[in-house]
Amino acid sequence: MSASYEKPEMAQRFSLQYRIQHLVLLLAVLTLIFTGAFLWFMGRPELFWWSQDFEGIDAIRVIHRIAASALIAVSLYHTLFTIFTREGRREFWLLLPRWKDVADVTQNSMYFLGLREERPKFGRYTYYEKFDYWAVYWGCVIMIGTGLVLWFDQLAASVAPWLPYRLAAEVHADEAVLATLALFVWHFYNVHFNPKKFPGSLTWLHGKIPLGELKADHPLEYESMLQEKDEAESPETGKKH
Amino acid sequence: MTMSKRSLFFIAAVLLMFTKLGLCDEDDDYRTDSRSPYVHLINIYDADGEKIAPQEREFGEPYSPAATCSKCHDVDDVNEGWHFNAGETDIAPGRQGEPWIWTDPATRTALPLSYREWPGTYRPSALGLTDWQFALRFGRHLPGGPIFQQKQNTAADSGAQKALDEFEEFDVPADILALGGHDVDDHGAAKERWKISGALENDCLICHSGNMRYSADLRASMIAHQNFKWAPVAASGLASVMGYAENLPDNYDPDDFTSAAQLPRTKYRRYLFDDQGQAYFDIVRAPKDERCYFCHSTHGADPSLPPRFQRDKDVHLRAGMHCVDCHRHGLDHAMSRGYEGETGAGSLRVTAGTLTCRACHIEQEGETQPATAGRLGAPLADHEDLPIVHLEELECTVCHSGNWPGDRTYRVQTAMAHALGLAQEHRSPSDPPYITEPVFVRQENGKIGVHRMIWPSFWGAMVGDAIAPLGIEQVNKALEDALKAPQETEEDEEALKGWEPLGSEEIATALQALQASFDDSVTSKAVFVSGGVAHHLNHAGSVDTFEHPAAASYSWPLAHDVRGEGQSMGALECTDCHADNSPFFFGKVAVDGTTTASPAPSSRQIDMQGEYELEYVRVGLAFKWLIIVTMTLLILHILADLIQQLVRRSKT
Repeated sequence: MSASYEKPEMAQRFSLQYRIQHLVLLLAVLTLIFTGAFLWFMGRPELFWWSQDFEGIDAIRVIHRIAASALIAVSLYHTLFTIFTREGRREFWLLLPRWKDVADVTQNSMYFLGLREERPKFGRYTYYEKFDYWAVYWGCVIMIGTGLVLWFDQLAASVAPWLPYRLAAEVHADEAVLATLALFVWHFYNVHFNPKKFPGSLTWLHGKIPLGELKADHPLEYESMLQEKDEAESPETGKKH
Repeated sequence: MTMSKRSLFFIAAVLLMFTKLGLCDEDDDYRTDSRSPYVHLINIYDADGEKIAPQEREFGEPYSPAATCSKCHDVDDVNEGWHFNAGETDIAPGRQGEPWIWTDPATRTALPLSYREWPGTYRPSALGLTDWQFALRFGRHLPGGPIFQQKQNTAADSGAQKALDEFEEFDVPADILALGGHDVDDHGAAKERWKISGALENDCLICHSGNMRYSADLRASMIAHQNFKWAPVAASGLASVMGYAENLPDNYDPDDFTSAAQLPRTKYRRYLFDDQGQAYFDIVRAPKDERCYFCHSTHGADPSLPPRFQRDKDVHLRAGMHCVDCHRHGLDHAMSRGYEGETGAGSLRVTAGTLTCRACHIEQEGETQPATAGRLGAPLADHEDLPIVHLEELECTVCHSGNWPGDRTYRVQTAMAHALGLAQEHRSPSDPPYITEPVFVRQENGKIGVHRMIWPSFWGAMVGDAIAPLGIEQVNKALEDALKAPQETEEDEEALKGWEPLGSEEIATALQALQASFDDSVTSKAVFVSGGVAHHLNHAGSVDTFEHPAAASYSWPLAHDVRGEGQSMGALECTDCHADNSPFFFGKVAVDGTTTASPAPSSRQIDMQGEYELEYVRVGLAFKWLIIVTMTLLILHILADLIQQLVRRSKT
């Protein structure tokens, strides 16, 4: 993905490809959370008396599975996109954990504790953004894997008897709780409730980020952009392009 | 002419040889080596080896199977066989089997007993039972054996001292012995009535009778009345027996000629004997299935089980096989029990491991000819689409044997525990002891097997951390007034047989009475074990319960009736087991107790399956911790970021 410098006050951070993938992921996950919670309540009439009189559980389950299908589809698409496109491979490479992330965590912790004046200089992705990305990876593997066992129990019993239905259900519910909490507490803080972002960043819609924010939060990325811009405007290097 | 000593010896040897070949009666290894059965038209002998001659004298000594059969068969060798060594304590116990269950409705006692060292069972001596008392109670379904037939003239050698030695061997605190009920004095000659009852010999006909004339019911009746010595002759139908040994006093001396007339009398049916005093015995080499069933029957005592006519027979029997086709043995009767990993001596050394489900039905890699797979026409199992882990984790019987599992286990009755096969009035499904099946239990070999299960119920003493049952006599004496025996009422005959559950107050009263019977010099606590928990008196004098290994269930694998492929679990649906509500994992296991004092703890099948539960808990717990740790770190990060922003803002 290449950044655009046509509007100096904004920089292009995410392409349309990623914005669409994020949108599908967003809709699928929110649907899965709400319908999944409902299905969990329905399975415990001893705790939720009202669930006994509810007759729409089949419809809820269908919606849950449609959303699950969307999640599976976007996961597969993202994987293929990552493998087969230059942009995908580049972003994936930048998202891989590095030793610098360990140093960044240490330095940022010192900054939080007042032991350091400046935050560490982050690149295109901070360590907590990488955490967000890989948490989704982990979550998708667990949720889709266990969800398929619950959905196709007969087949699963045949091909994966080491993952019994009950265990899959327990893990599915636990991981759902973790994903929900991480989404509404952690991710929402980073993109909505953080005082610097409140009431919310619109990057997920137009894919752009204010240059000031880029400079503050991703200084290495910003410097890299400037360098690229200089090289692009240079007659000598311009020939290379 | 004088004959040399050498010639005399030769002539004597020839004469001796002809004598032995001419008379089966005098030879203990006379053989036909034919597959055709030998016609047993034979003389009969009493326990002293004297030939009985009914054609001359109508009344006589009861015939002795040991003395009679040993004329041609090595009875001593037979007596080492699996069934007949049930009373031996130095025999390799093998896989856990069905115990003898001492049941006493009056004291609500149901305790699994065995001379074999099966974990979870108690030696009869733990209840203060002598071998004779054991034979009296359970001889109905015991074929007899050395331990029950060698006491005839050894009343003076107290089996009780041996019992005490064994009791101590099992780490039962010595103090409990001092509480009474196990005293040598109580087990002395007064209870050793072998001299009166005679020996409980191994009765060959109980298995080898070729017709249904042999009456195991009559044999049991004889034994119940202490007519041990007379049981075989009465059961065989060769004679009628008059009188019961139980009517004779302890000090009765059978060697006293003047009182001998008081012993039971044996009147032979002379029409069954020919002029030579020989009788025809309908003997079969391979016992009929019906004979096995006498001791190895089960009866569904649960209303939710289908009646017998709706149930299919074991698929092997329907295919024309017989019990002994798999449960084979040589002359030493070292019978193959048919489980994997079985070992043994004698003929079992040859058969063990070759007569299992797997050996016959599953092709083994590297098997040499002749292969065991497919023998006897056994269909080879392909288990198509069944992941191999099932064969590694489960015994074949889990899917193929026993009652189809339901939401809860079923109550069943067995011949050994409920005296099935004997005609009794008022048989009831609620007759104790309570045995439940099918229970899917993780076994010592690491596999899950399908089992029958009983929860022990007994009165005992706790010394330190150990609980051991008290002697029957002491319990009966101490609780005589505290517990009322179940009473029959005209309105509800069913109530007669079932346990009458004990309430908290009754248990408290009984525990107080039991505690009062203890020797003050011993620091011990009276306890009542039932329903998977132990009960004791707290400081306020009321009943509390606690968990203890002595209250744990005892289970033993079941193998029959076997269901074929089409009727096996999982044949049509994997969800027979792999479902949220599957009986295999989440069916309730009945914890039948004898009290209303505390609700029986609920138990699920998965609770019996060890590793699954651990895995389930381990993974579940790991995810809970993952949630806690992850969210704690993330929230700390958020808070630190917020605080730092506030600090920076305040500075600017």
